[in-house]
Order: sequence, then C-alpha cells, then structure tokens
Amino acid sequence: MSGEGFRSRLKRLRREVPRDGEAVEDASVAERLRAHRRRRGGRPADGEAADPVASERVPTTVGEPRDLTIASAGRAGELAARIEGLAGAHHHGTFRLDEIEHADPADFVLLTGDSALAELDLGGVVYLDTETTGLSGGAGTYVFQIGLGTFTADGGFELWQGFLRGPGEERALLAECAARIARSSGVVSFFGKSFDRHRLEDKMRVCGVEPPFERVPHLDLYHPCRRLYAPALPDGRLQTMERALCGVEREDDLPGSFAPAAWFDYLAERPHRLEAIFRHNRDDVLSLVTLAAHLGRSRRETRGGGEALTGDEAARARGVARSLRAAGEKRAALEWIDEALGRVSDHPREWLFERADLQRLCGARDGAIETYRELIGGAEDRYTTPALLELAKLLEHHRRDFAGAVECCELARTTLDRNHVGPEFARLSRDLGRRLERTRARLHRGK
Amino acid sequence: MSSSPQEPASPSSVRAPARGGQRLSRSGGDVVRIARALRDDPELRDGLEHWRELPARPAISEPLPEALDPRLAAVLRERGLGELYAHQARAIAHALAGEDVLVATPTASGKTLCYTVPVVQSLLESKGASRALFLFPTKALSQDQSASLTSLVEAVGEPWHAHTYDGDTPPSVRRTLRDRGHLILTNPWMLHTGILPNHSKWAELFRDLQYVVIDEVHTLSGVFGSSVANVLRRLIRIARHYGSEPRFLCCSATLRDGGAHGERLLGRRPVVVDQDGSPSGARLFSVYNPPLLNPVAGLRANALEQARLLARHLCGPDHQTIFFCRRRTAVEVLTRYLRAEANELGLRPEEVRGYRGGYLPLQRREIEAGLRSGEVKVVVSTNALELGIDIGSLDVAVLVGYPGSQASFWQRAGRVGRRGKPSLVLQIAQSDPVDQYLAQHPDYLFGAPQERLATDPDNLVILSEQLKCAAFELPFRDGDEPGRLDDVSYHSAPHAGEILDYLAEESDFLLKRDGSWYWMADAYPAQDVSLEGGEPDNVIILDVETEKAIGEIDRESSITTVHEGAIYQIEGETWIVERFDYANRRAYVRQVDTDYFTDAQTDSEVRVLRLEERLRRTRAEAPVADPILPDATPSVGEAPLFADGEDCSVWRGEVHVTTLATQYKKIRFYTRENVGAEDIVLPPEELDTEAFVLTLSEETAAELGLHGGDRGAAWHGVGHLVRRVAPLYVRCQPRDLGISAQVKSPHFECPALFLYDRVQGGVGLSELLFAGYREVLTAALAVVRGCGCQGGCPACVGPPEEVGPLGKSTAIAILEHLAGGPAPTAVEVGEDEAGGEP
Repeated sequence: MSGEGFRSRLKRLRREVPRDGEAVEDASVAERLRAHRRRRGGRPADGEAADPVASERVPTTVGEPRDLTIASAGRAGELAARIEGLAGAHHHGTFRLDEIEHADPADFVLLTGDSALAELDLGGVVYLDTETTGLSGGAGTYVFQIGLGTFTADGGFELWQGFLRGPGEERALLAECAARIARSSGVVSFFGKSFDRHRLEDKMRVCGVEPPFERVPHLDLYHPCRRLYAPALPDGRLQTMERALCGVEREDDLPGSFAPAAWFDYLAERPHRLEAIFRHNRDDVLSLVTLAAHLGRSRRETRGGGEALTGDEAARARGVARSLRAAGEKRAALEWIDEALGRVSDHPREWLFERADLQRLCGARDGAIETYRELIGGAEDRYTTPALLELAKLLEHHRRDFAGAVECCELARTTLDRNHVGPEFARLSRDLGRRLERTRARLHRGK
Repeated sequence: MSSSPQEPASPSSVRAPARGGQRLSRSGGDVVRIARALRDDPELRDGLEHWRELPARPAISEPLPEALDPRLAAVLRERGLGELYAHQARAIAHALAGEDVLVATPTASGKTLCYTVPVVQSLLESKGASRALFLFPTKALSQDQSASLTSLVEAVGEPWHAHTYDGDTPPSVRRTLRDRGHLILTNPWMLHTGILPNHSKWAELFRDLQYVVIDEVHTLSGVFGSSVANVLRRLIRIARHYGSEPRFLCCSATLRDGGAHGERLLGRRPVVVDQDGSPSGARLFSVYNPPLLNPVAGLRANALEQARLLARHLCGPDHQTIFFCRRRTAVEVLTRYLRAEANELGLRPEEVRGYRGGYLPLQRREIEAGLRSGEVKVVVSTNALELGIDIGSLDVAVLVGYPGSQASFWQRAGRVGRRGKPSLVLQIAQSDPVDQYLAQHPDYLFGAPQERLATDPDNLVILSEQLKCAAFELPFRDGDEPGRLDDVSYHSAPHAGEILDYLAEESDFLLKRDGSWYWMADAYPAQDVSLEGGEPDNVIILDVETEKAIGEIDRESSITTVHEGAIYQIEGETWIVERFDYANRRAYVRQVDTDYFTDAQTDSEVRVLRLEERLRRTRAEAPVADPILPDATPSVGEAPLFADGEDCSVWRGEVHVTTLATQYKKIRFYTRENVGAEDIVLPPEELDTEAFVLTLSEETAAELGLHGGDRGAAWHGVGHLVRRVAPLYVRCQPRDLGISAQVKSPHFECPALFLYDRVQGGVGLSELLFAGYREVLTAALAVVRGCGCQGGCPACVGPPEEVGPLGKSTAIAILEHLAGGPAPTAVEVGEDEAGGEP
C-alpha cells in the first residue's frame, strides 16, 4: 500500500471527510441518533423531550460516583454498589416507607388479576428499578445501574444501587442482581414487567446468568395505577403518579432519558451527571414502596393511620368497580360504580353504561331500565344505540312492554347510522334487525 | 446435456441443420404443433433464427442413504421418493458427513430435498434438540417452504414445527417461535435487524443450531451479497457464543465457480454439487429476433408487439404458457393485449392472468393455485415467478427480452417441462447489445455457466458498517496479532481491528477498554445499516405542500434527477424540483403538469489513486494486423518503428471519480424536441472505488486509427459497448458499472478506458473484469461485427452522431486487436505507475 494510511483511506471511503456544502460535524450520525430516539417505543418516557435546561441545572462531577462499595465477585471480577440504609420511618413524599405493612395483598390481586400475588410478602420483596443505555433493547443495550430496595429484619430499609464501572463488570452485576431477586419473595416495579425485566433477562442470557424472574411473583404497579387513576391524570408516568398519590415532589430531577449520556460521559472520563442519575434511581425505588403502600389500600381508601388516600376519588371508585367486575364480583362492582357516580355531579356516560350493565347482571332490572333511560335522555353518542337495544330487551322480557320495545328499536335504527361504523355497525345492525322482527311479531300477536 | 443444434422438422428457413425431427414427431404433443405453426407463419418465420432441442433426459437415481432414519426413509418412500437423484444423494451424503454444501442445479431439479432431508434427519437423531435456520430471499418463498417442511415433519410423526419469522409474524407468536420453533424460516433482512441484535431472545435457537439453509444464493451478489456475507459472519459469531457450530446448506441456480462464491459468502469453501441427476422432458428452444425496421438506426420492431403476434401460436386452451417481461408496466400492457384477444386464442379472458410484485398476497396465491390446477392457461409475469414458488410445470415459456443473466434465463426456462412431455422456450431479442449477441450466439446460453458473481465482504464501507452491528451484538476482543480480532468470523478480514479502533475514536459508538471494544450508544445500528447499501446518504423527496415524502433517490443519482428545475417522474406523475437542500439531503417538489421532461448531463473525471495489478503485452508479441500508417510515420524497412514498445495493458486498482452535473435539457414528451437548457449548480459527486482499466500505447492506438478529435469518439463507443456486454460474464447490470474513456489519460499519457464499480469502495466487479476481460471483449467484438447497422447504432457501439463516421470500423479494429493475439501477461506494477496520493 502506498503512502496513504489505512485510517485516512477508511475515512475517505466512509465519506467522513467534510466536504464543501456539508456541515463540519458528522450530521448524519447525530441525525441517525435522533431518528432512533423518535422511533423507540417502550416505556412511558421519564423525561419526555429531553429538556436541555433541566440538565444544565444539574451539576456535573468527575471520576467515580461517591460512596461505592467494592466487593469481590470471585472469577467474575469486582462488583460496585452504593448501599444506603434508611429508617422505616423515612418519609418519601407524604408516606413513610413502613406504611407498606398496612397494604393488603388482596388489593393487588384484584387490581392485577394475578392470583400469585395473594401471598405476596411485601416485607420480603425487592423494589426494582434500572437505568439503561437505551430503550430500544437488543444485545447492545447495557443495564448500567440496578436499584434494589429491601426491608431489613430490624424494620429498616436498604437501598442497594449496583453500578457498572465498566462493561467488563456486567456479568458480576447481573449475577448479584439475579441472586438478590432469587432470594426475595417477589419483585415490585413500575412498568418493569414490560421493560426492566426484559432488559435484565436479555443481558443475563448473553452473560450466561440464569434469569430469576420465572421463580418469583412480580407486582407491576403501572397497570393498577392506570386502572385506578388514568382518566384523572394527564399521563401514566411514575412521576405523575407519585406526585398525585404520594405527594412526592422531586427537586432538580434529571430525567431518566439523560441516563445513557451520563454513563457514556463517565466511561469516557468526561464530567458527568451520574450523581443525579443515582438520585433519580433512588427516588424511583422509594416511590415504588410508597405507591405500593397507596395501592394496597385501594378498597379501604384510607392510609394505615386513618387519613384519606389522595388521588381522584371518583376515578378510583370506578376503577375498583371495573376490577371487581373483571374478577366476577358483580354485586360489589355495582356498589362501587354507584359510589363512583355519587362522587361526581356530572355522570360520565361510560360509567352510566357500566352501571346499567351491572344492574342488569345483578338482576336489578328496574334500576337498569332507569339508568338506560338516563343514558338515552342525554346527548346522542356511541352509547345511545346499545342502550336502546338493551332497553328494548328489558322492556320486552321484563316489562312485556312490546310497544315500548318496538319504539326503542325504531329509534335505534335512526341512531345507528349516525354513530357507528365498520364491524360494530354490522354487529349492532344484525342485532337490531333480529330484535325488531321479534318484538314486532310479539307486539302483533299481543294485539 | 446435448448441445447439438436440432429442430422440430426441417424448415429451410432456419440456419441449423435438420436433425432429430423424427423423434419429436413421434413424441407428438402441442409443442411440436406450435413449433410447426411458427415455422409456417410467413410473418414470423424469418425472425426465428435458431432452433435447438435438448432431448429428454432420464433420471440418474440412487437408493436412499443407509444412514437415513427408518421413519424418514419410510415417509420418503410413501411420497414416491424411494430413490434420490444423483445430486440429491451426493448433497445429502455430504451434509450428513458434516460438510458445508452448495447445490447448484437447475430449477425443478429437487433442490429442496437436498436440505430438508439432512435437517429432518438431524432432528430425529437429536430427538428434537437440534434447530435449523432457513434464509429465503423473499417472504413468499419462506411461506411456501414452511408448509412443505411442516408436512414432512408431521408425516414423520413428531410434533416439531416449521415457523416463518418475518415482518408479518404477530408478536404473540414470536415468543413461542423463539422458544420452541425447531425450524425457523426467515430472510436476510429479519436476521440482520430482528434476530441477531436480539440474540438473547433466540438463545434456544443458537444453542442448538445445527444447520443454516440458504436458498437462491446466486441472488447474493453485489452490495447485497457482500452485506449478507457479513450478516453470516455475525450469525456464526453469535452461534459460537452460545456453543453451536452450524453447517451451511446452500442452493443456487447453476453457477460459474460456485465454490469461490460460496467461500466469499460463508468464509469457508463448501462442497459444490452441480451434476444434475433429475430427468426432464425434451425441450425446444428458439430465439426470435424481431424484424429490423430501420437498418441505419439499428431499430427493431417492439418486442411486446411481437410477443402479441407470437401469442397467436403460443397460447391456447390445451396447454399453459408463461410470458416473462422485464418491467412491471410491460406485464400490465401485455396482459391487457392478451386478454383483449383471448377469444381469438381460444381462451376465456379470465384464463389470462398478470402476476408481479405489488399484487396482494391472496391474489397471488390464487393465481399460483390456478397455474397448478391448470385453470390459468396464460400468465404474464415479472421475475416474481422466477424464484422457487410452486406453480407446477408449464408448457411454453416466452422471455420478452433477455433477463440480464444466464441464471435468470435458466430459472425462467425451468418453469416449463413436464416429465414425458416436450416443452418450448422462446426468447424474444430486444434491441440492445446483449440481446443481439445472444440472438447470434445462442451457444452462450447452452454451454457451461459463464457469469461470475461479484461479492466482497471486505469492502471497507460495508465491513465497517456491519462491524458496528456486530459490536452491538457482542463485544469484540483483540487477537494475538495486531489488527486481527479474536473471532473466527473475522480471521479473513484484514483491518477489522483497525476499523474498530477508528470507529471507537471517531464515532463515539464504541468504547475500547482492556483490549475489548464495547458498543456504547443509545442506538440500534442494524436499523440504520441497509443490506442494499447507501441508505443514510439517500435524498428524500418531499412534497412542498404536504411535507410528505414521495420518494427517495440514491446519492449518485441525486445530482442528475433532483437538481433544481428537474422534472421528477413517478408512476406517470410529474413533479418539479423547487429546491434541493443538498446538505440535508432533501429535495422539495411540487406536482405540475408539464409537456417536457429533463435530461441532465454530467462530466466525470477519473483519477488513479493506486494500481494493484497489471497485465501487459508488447508490440512484438502482438503487432497490429493491418496498421494504419500515416504518411508522416517513418518506418525502417519492413518492421514498424516501435516494435519493442508496449502494445496494451490492463490494470486493476483504486480510483477517485468526480462527477459534476453541468446542465440539463428540457425535452418535450413524444416529439423529443429540445425546448431549452439550463445550468446545474451543485457540488460534484465524489466516488472512491475500484476500477478495471484498459490502456493502449500511443503507437498501437495510432495504428488502429484511434486519434484525438473525431476518432476519439470510437474509443467511447468501445467503452459503452464493453460496459453493456459485461453482464454476460460478470453478474451485474450495466448501470452498476461507470465508464470513462480518455483518449489521452493524464495518468497513463495514452488512451485509457476505465470501467469502475459504482459502489463506494467497490464490491469486486473490477476484479472479475480483470479476470475475464478477454471474454467480454470477444463478446463485444461479436456484437459489433454481427450488427446489421451501417455505421453504428444503439444496439452496438452507438449511433454515428455519437461515435463519428468511422466509429464502427475503428471500434471493430480496436476490439479485433485486443481480443485477438496472445493474452497479456502479469507484470509488476512499477512504483511510478502505482499512483499517488488522493
């Protein structure tokens, strides 16, 4: 090879030599990264759009994060973690950590539909939250920080934040994490069933560590939170939930979306914001405890000390009703939906429809007829036609009011066209056709 | 395979001597009747230039291998496969012996069995522990194969399943398939972006991966093939990580030097099985050359129109005919023609169907089923029906235009021919040099495979992008030698370590620590690395009104198609380019009604960077046969003055190509009238690549009649012709090759012809040209000699307006000289010739 070095040849071939008309920095790499970020799905973003101002407020440090405890992991090398002991009485937001003892596992079973949680020992679980180098997954994504919170025998709380000082320590960290989970009575996380668990399992398989998740129950707080409070809250992020439900206000939080950059900066020995990431992860883990303490009181609606739960009461009652309905507890569900409707002045139509449905299922047919009439009397929308059809059924079978039933069907014919399309239209239209024929025939015979 | 020319009867108008008619008459059948009717048609018979018959060939069979599991053997016997064809038996024996195998036999020779038997055998032997991965070039093929594999496994009586994994696989099924799928059928793209980057989810597959089956490996060439070779490197690497060493079972159309191709793809040489043992019925071949309408311009009658005329004989109610067209629009046009005339052909219009990519899957399945059942009598298709989709065997194949490669020709021809029944393949020649060459030299098609496949897994651009993907999947470790990686997949890749170092330092994607490179970015590289290449540099074409993308164009083409003022055409609509944001790779267009299109002109400059190989011959070895000696040339006695000097050289090396778009012309549709021209102001397009170079000494050039000025145009004519016939010997499209014909090259100081790979870094075309240029030149000479035009035309060297009045004769002289005489021999590339810094 003549004079030109391999590297400049490679640079030339990769067209990474700036040319006229092109920006000097590697625009394509930056653009490609942005494209990645736009594409990535995964868990509800912690930080939404990365706000550069937010990151600038957070100071940087240089070198190793503070207070790392280094342990030997045998042949796998060394293992670094920050370990912090907290009192059970430690306040995170308005809750104390030890309020978890008042949580009722039956509420978790109800809210998740997962019967494995019935025996969940909340004192022996690990509260899990991880920080990763990306949300898209795949073998090249590192879990560089694993926060595991556990209650200790003396009633205290230990926060263990395992940390990768370099990619070479990955196996040791994952093995320790797997061992801690395997020793626990279960895992509590927020969106972890869909995200953290998979990142950990993927990396454990790559590193030859047996993933422990199949062996322990897993309580994911994300869906229960959504189920109870989604209509009343702008989004499903952990920070939205902890603020509304546990009174947590974070100061100078660095959103999790800054985590990859913080770790990359650290590895490249640049000033980094890892301290803020440790703090962020710590807050996340503590919020898991208090959110679980909150959710475990959902049906009682009071905290252990008797104070009322915060959070939208009506949404919660309706959420409990839906959970009960899903669990087949129709009567209890009806009580809760009545309660929910009693807590609002303006009855949401969807709730009314649910109430009528439950009334029907519980045999409270007269009540159901009233509720359907309330629905039909309101603004015409997608509930009107199904309500008319249900009402027609009740009038026909329960009240034997064939004329009323026919009237409902005929009205439904006009509302159907205006409010339904596609397969739903087809289904309702078929139902309606049959019902109209039947009720007309019965009306005719009756006369 | 017989190569003796034979014909159905003995019509006096065909060139081939009459032989073999008797046998065909006895075997009877529609095809012979069709051939007779064609021969007797006064309008068509003159165009039917060649007839050739390949006689029926009996099967060469062997018993099932002893080692076969009795359950599998029983199932095969039940299916009438109590004996195997010789090539199947050989391929299976090699596979069972643990070797990598490449089976290169024609369509319909039963290649599928060559891999299904070893795969099922390994499942039986391992009691369901082993796994296999299948790569097909299209989704349709993998679905087809999934059904047949599942049926075989079920017949063996085991609950193992074949699953297709592609973009359509629902997420709910993916998990089962990852954990329990024994046979995974997918494609290179899914392997690249889905499976390998998420290998931990596929740990079960990789732990016990015994076989990797790759079908249609002749399609793996160029940028795509070079990229796939790197994907296979990654696959081998991941399998090793989980403890398996899969063997490769590859299938291909017939190939020239399949072993070398296999080695470039797999990194190790497979055993090649290419002796076809399958039987076939007698096959008749004919080439139809449409009448020359204008001998001066070399213009022939339109091939589609001719296909329509031929259809009167070729289509009918008692047999099935397939037409292959080169373009989708041609499929639609011909389908419409044939449907309109269905009654006259004795068919109902619904018995004539079109088939191409873009039809809905259900519709395609329905047409395929109609072909198998015989309900569809005529199908007009693109290459969509060329690959192994099961449509049964038909009777008549018509190729409207040469499909561009010998492999494709035989794949298409392989669509006809049932056992015990003769079939007919008719090739309609179009007006371009390769078609015309084949019209006159059909032997090319019937001889051994001629095309070499270009694949270069070590192309630095492709290798470095693929190394990013590989580093994402697992960290790399330094090897013992500097620059080498501790990874068997990359042992043959020089510089892999240096590339990783470069990426670590320049791109921030990689972190090097303690002798290992780790992926360190919040990014998923496979998503941005295209197997077809070039993607990050593509220009997006945006509608200014909706801001929506309406198209995309590659970097090289952008300066001539989306410069400001250009008319961009897509699906018959015209858009004008209002602004070309060159730096951000975006062109903004507005839809307009125009009566003109634009044609941009470019200037290219090729600069030699480094020459690596050279072949040379002297004037003494190869004196010009009939030298043109200008009066002023002094001569000493009988011998030319420069007897000892150089005659010509061929070279291979690296070049830098600068292409500048200079101006564009506005040309009216239909009349092709020039209605104005404007300048294009854009930065030049730069390309670093590899080239094949042909140089003539000044003396030889002079004696051949090649001077500057007018006559220099003949040199361009030679170049363009060579470029267009190159696909006969090197598998590529003419557009894959760039050309520059310099009458006085600044580097060589003599006439030089550069043919360069139009891919950044090159993917091996120049090496193949360097190895096979004599064949290419010989074919080019045959085209220009055999062309019926007077002074050059588009079907040979180009029209006289472009190549000058003496262009054709000068080109013939040059090609005769270069293709004749002794072959040049290897010499060292001297230091002063090697080229300087870029």
